[in-house]
Amino acid sequence: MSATSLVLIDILKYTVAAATPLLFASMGGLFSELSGMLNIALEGLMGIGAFFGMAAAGLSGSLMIGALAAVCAAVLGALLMGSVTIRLRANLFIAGLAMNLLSGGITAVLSQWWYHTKAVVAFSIASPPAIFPEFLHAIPLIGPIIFTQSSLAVSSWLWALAVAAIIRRTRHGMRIRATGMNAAAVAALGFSPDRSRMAALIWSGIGSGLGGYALGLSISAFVPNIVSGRGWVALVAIYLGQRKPLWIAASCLLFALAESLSNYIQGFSTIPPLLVLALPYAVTLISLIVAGKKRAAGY
Amino acid sequence: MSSESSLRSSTRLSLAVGVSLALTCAVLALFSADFWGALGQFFIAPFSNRYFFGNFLADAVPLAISGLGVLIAFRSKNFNLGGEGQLYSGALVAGILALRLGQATDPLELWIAASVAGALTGALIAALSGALKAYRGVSELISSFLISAIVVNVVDFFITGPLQDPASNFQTTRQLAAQFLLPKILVPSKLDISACVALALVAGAAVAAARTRIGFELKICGENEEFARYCGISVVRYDVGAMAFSGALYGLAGALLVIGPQARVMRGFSSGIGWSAISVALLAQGSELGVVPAALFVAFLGAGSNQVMIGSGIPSEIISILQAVALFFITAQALPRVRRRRKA
Amino acid sequence: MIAVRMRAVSKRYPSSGVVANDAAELEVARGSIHAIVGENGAGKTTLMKLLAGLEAPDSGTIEIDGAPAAIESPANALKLGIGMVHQHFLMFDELSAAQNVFFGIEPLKGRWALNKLGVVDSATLEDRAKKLARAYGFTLDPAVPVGKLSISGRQQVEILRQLARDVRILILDEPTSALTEQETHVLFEKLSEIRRAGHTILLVTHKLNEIMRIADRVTVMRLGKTIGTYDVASITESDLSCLIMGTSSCEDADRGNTLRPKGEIVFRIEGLATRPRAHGGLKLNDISFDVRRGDILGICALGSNGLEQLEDALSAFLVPARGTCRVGTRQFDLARIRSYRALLLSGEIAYLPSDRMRRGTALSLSVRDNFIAPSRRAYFRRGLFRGSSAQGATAQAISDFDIVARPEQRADELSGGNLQKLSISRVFSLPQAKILILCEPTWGLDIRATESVRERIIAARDAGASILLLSSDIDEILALSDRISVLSRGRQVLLKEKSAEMNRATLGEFLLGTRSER
Repeated sequence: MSATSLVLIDILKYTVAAATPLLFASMGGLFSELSGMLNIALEGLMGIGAFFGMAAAGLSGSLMIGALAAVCAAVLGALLMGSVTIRLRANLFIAGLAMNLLSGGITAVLSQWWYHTKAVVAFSIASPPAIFPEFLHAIPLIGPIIFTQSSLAVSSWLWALAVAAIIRRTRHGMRIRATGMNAAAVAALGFSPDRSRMAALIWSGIGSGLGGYALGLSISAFVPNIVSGRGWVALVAIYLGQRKPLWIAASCLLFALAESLSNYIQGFSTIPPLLVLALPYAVTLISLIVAGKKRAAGY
Repeated sequence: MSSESSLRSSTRLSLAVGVSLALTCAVLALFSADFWGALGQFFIAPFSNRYFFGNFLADAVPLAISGLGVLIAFRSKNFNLGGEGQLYSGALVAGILALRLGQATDPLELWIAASVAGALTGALIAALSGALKAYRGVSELISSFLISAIVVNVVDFFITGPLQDPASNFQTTRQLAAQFLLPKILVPSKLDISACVALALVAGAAVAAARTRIGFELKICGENEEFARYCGISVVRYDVGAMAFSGALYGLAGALLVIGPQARVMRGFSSGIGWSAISVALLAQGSELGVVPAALFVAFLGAGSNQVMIGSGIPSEIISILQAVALFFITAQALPRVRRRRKA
Repeated sequence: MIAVRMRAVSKRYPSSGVVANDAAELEVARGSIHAIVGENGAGKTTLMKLLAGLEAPDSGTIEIDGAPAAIESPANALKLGIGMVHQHFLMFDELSAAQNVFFGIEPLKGRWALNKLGVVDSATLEDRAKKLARAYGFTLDPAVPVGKLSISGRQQVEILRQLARDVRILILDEPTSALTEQETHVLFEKLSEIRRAGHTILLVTHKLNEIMRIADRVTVMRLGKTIGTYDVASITESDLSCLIMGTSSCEDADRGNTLRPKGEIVFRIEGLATRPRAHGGLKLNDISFDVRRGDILGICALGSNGLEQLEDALSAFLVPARGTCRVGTRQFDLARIRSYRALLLSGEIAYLPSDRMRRGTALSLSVRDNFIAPSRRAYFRRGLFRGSSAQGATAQAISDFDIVARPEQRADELSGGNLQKLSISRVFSLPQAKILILCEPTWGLDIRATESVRERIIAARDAGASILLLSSDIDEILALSDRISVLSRGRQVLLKEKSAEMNRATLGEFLLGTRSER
């Protein structure tokens, strides 16, 4: 195999792996978007998931316990946000902003308190186990790209499938979608739009928690800036994917590709890596503009 | 203002301030070895000498200027989430201009040019979001955030690339010569005359809002869009204009930082100010004059946090927790002030 | 068997002070189609809201199938078998018809795991939807997303939704207002099927010919009271018209017509047509009229027959598909709204919106701010606010128009009637406006205020203003207009000088769509 194709395979392999946290978070965030709530706290919830997940995994030595802790912590955060927004009628955006701030603050303070450092906290945790048998790696192309992925990456795709099934095929999912389409009708038909919204926020907590945990596992550590904008990218992926699970997954891959490319391009100075990072935002903006309804100009 | 709603807003405000201060004490009690010492560091040290006090005031300046812009945008129900990018890019443009002009002009002209350049940069970027909302129905909240994310990366690229100071180990542009920096007020702190600019802007905005036609029309746009149209007010003009104004103030704040305490444009120097400005605007509860105490409060939380970090080793990130809690309280039932999402 | 009996039911809305139902009575036989008819404001919709559990009566009793019932919520009503199809359907556009019909009661798959998880059995869902539709003669594609259906399709989904929940007493509020002739015919076939299956149908409407076609009995309401209930078989359309309008005899009344010299045409609209707002909705067709100096043209229509659209088109809140406006020698293309808007803002035209709360007021601002807002330029000299002149002008208006308010009060503290007066005071404080467009000017006002506003309108006319009056209040139109136009279903069916033979009864026929002169 030529050197370029090796590099390409490496990039694609990294892409699929990097898409894992995005898939978790964006699919969770899809629920809140479908219920009519623009949830900008995915970033902060991911951070919380990363910290508490890694801490629990490090403490217990079990990856599953880590995952559970990540989910619980992020869901608690989502509940806080949800209660303030839905019960106390707070502004959703500001509550989201506050959540993001809170996440950064709490993780830094706890990191200092428990691990006596605000910088990298390394955990000696086993990496998520490989799930595909070794012999599959030899299959040309998809072998090295897909079958070398860990169980974590595979779970993220299973999660995506599960979310797609829930929103399309279950009563619960339909009610959440209906709340986003016509909350007044939902209320008039005897159901509570607020309950659906709270449920949607909890789902986004689950997704963000797992996404943050995945980030932590990928470097076996927790760093203050571990999320680094991926929560926003997940939100943007929901928009770019026009709220359809398949397209959202594709958008996650696109952004993961951008991330992979920018890592590789460090070596070559032709395309500035920073600009490559900006590309996904630009793509989303353009797609929003094109999809936007032309308002009657003037007034 | 009916007496009923202003009572509620002052209750919210005192709750927000009160709880965050109480929380501060709790955090200090939990994490510090010496509680009373830490308490002193947080609450008293910022005022203890000219250096600390001046720095604390200086931190409030960009918060006040940007917060004012966010407040005005809120007035017309526009949410500018792109402050980080607008401030950062305003700073860069101002910095580049100042470095270029360098020896050629006298300091005053340089300051004016840099300030105007910074403000224009921020205004154009924010106005883009306003226009996208007016003509394509794109939420200005999302577009301003996306544009800001792009802009931050672009500015980072320029700083670390073509504009990098070859003589420095940090990722930064070259430094401005000392004589071109804004004159300091409270030596040895970094406080400079930009504080006066901030106060002047706040006073001017307060007067304009209360007594000019533009302020009146902006108020109507924010209260009832249909009524505004009935009165013949171009809501589109005010949407774009309010965003542009808020972007201009962000850009100006960035410019003043560069020709002031920073003296150069270091990568990430302004990270977080954009978000804090939103907190400031909310704490100001719709009043321009309120921006000053709000900025001072947020800057105080930051100064106190820094002091306890130095003094007791508590991470300065507690300010994030404090700000978050204050925001939660302020926004609960903040219905009349800020737009709620249409479908909620 | 009496399915519904409402006795001495009263309902007053405290916020506006309006008495919507005044000891109203209703008796509906099981398995019949029962129409409830009356003009705007007669109280029909309120009575049905009480029955459907959307509002609670202040006094009176309701009996369902002979047993007394307290209907406290729509869920309550549903348990009693009562369901209402509203004018604005409760649709989920992106869900399919079947999903909409069975929303909340979808059949679930499997017995254990899948059932607990709430997985919907879509095959059974669609099957049930098809069966339900067929049982009542509906043709419904269960898989189509509701957003793609026409209004009549959505209405069918809405009706099926009620039937799927075992509703025995089905209430339909103005069901044919947005339907074509053909669609109405289809709807009535379905309603007959539903009746045949033993359900009871209550039909709120003001379309007399439809009542004659489909209803078994009809209850006439006026001003919140029940006038009477009649067998459709033994009453004629004109009798019904008389009962609705309240003329005890349908003799032509002498209106004391005052002939006055005709002034020149000041404001003319030609060929105004609009696009429907929603898929299959109402649109205006070829509306033309002119307003002369010293003349009042009254345009009248009932309910959703196009008056709101006309108002929005004339006030530049809606961009028409076609139309021309002539003012003096100037001409404005209404489809290209810019120049017409400029005309509106120039101060030559004063416009009083019908929705005073939403369009006419910023509720959280002060009375003074609200008063000066449309004419604000006069109060900002050289950019700065002239508080004293604003205060003075507001105080003057308050006293001139008998408004119970202080200039510094918040507008939302005022009662509905005072808010109306505030809006009116604005319009009449603009001396330079020669053309007045007044929409529902005395709606919500008490007798005294109504009289005084009407006097002002007449006085303005006598002083040479050209006045366009849009109103659904027939008495007002008759009292004030010099010329009258009527809209029905978006078309102009009458445009004429007011004459002796025009009275409530005759106008009623135009309004109710049974007569047309165009």
